[in-house]
Amino acid sequence: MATDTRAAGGRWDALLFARVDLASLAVFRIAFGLLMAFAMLRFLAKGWVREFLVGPTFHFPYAGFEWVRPLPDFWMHAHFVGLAVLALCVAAGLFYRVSSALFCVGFTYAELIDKTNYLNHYYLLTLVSALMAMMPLHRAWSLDAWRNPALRAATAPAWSLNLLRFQTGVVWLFAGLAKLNADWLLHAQPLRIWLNARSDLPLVGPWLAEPWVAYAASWFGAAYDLGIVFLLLHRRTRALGLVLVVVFHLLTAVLFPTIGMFPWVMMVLSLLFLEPDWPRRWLRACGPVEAPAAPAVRRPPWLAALVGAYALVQVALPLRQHFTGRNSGWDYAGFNFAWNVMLIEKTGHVEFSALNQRTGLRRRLDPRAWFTPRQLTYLALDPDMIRCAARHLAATLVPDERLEVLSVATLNGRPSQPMMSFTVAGDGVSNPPETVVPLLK
Amino acid sequence: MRLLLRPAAALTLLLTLAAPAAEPRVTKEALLKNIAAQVIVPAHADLAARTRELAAATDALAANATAETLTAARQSCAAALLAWKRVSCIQHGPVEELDLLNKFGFWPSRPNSIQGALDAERAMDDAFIAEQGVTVVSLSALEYLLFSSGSPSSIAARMDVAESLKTFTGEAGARRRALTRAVARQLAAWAAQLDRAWSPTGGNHAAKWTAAGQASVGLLVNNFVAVLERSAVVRIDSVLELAGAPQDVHWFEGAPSGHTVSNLVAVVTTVRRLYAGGDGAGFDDQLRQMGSPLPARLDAQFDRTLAALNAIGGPMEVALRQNKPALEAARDQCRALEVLLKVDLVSALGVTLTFTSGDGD
Repeated sequence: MATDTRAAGGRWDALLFARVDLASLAVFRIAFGLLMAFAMLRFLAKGWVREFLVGPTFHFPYAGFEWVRPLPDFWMHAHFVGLAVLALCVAAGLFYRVSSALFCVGFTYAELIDKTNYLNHYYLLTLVSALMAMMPLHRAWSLDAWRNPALRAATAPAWSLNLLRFQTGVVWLFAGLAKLNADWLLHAQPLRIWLNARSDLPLVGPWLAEPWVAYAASWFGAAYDLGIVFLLLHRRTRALGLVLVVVFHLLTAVLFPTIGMFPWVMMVLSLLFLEPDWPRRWLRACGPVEAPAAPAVRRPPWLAALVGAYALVQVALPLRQHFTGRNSGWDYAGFNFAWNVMLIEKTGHVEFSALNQRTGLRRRLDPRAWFTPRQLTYLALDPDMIRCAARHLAATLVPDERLEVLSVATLNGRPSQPMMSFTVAGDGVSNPPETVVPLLK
Repeated sequence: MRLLLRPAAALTLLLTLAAPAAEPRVTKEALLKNIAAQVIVPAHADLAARTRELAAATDALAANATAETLTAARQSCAAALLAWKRVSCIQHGPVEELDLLNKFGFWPSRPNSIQGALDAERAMDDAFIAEQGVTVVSLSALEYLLFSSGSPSSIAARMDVAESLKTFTGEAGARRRALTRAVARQLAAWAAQLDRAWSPTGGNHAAKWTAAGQASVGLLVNNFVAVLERSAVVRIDSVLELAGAPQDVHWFEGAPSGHTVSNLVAVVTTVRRLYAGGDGAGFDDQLRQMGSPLPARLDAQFDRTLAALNAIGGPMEVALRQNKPALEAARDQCRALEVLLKVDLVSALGVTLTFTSGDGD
């Protein structure tokens, strides 16, 4: 028993404190930084800073972050230019620690402004950039190391690489687990709808309208998400895994263009599963490569606890949706921050009316006066956002009026059904009820 | 080489067996082509024809203002209004590029602006008309010119040809006749432009639209939803909100010409034809092919909505006083149709509602 414990402790110690070649992490830093710089410039070029962040007159806050407000138009644009510059600094390894920490804070700030903008891969970018800020990824192939030779190192503690691998694996694994449901496996939904919508693509289009293709894609997608980490972790299957990563994510990029940067983020993250010295071996083929001596290994006692706690949170967050006994795609309880990637096709409609209790007259409110079309699309899906919108609208009513809210939605091809129906007093302080109509099977 | 032959043969066999079904399927290209040919292009051609007739009728009225020429002009105007209602269900493409949505569909009319143009001392020539905005040069302005009689609230007075004819005759009527003719001609010119843009023998936008595939599906379905919401549900809702308030027919779209309900019927019927591809392939066929039960529900809801609208039984301004439950029932059915289109149809076709850009995962 004592031997087992010692062996387990040794494995844990090796996972955290063994030295691994820094080359692969340095390449990852460069690729991630460049990708983030591109992503920030893309966000600017598409006009999303104004459309998503500055333009809306009302923002849907995250609980506890109601104080997060957008900057004025010019400064919000400057903020994204700044994020692009910081991302380039991360890539170059210039003032790396500060740059990566500021990028993480700045990007997270933009994310927190409005719930409407939640995306799984934005959340992933926050987590990865936060982890990177704590890792010594600038000790090789960086301007910091060039300016300060004392910083140079050829290796990094293994926890840096393993924690990033763990984070990537969590995304894939929980995305796969979330697909183990009847809609996905037995009805091929929502892929049946989405692939059919792409049936106008040249060459492959007619195939995409075939039901069997949707079934095959659903099952392959679930198997891919559940198995890809294991393929990448084992040396013998790694090449196959990498080919699958590239093929799968390129396919999703082509078939679902609105998925944005997600496939590229995952392709960059998959580089972490290669042997840590792969860039050095590649470069060695081109000529001799200097490998500076490794710095002394430090084993801060708090680090193991911190890594353990982080891992625990990352496992617990996606798991919580499975313990509610309800379909989280319907009521959104625990749906976000749980790697439910491309999992549901949900469309909704919500109506807000003001009922004058004295005259009995009802007037339908035009929510476009308060919310942008994009916000309206998303709020119709999320009961929490509906409640938030109701609180906001109720505060605008005149005395004697009550706000009536009726929302209808459809999930994964089911017939539409009521999702919420409630009234709120027009006093601006009453809270809407939390009840969500259960999803019919 | 032999090693490769077997897997290649097996793959070929597998692909052959799994190839897209050989039986005729409704492809997206086919249904879009059909919708364009059976519904969109004819609707635009009809608007062009109706506005040509309107221009001819107002020419006749300008030449000789009689009860007959005024009645003919009114009938042509009403037909053009309904033709526009049908075309207004397609709010993208040429109508957007030529900026004609507001010019044709501007409502409610602005009597003060029209009166200003009538009272102006400048000659009623092309330059004068070109300077006028949509408050003067639009279908609703023309409806006002042909159906007003100086008694703003009375529908009976508006429909009274003899009363209205007085405003077209004599020296004072000359300018009204000229303005009516000029506006009708301008509308006919715009409608001809639109028709040419869609026509296979003109700009052939229909071909471009068909080739755009899912993007066109998205645009069309977004248009269904927007038009049904704004032209039917909100319109009836706003009429119901007038209950108890002083009523002016000015606030009932189509009231001057007595088409408050037929306007709504035209919208719902056109949305149905666009959805079903007229008598040919449409979204209903595509959905049936996917095994979706939605076509049956939508068909039933279209029937219920049209029945409820027809049950209003008369102008909305009258129904508001005499048959409010029928108006409420029509509103409820329009709303139910809106939800089916906005939620179920949008979802089943994988359409992105509102066309806001943005990533999603």
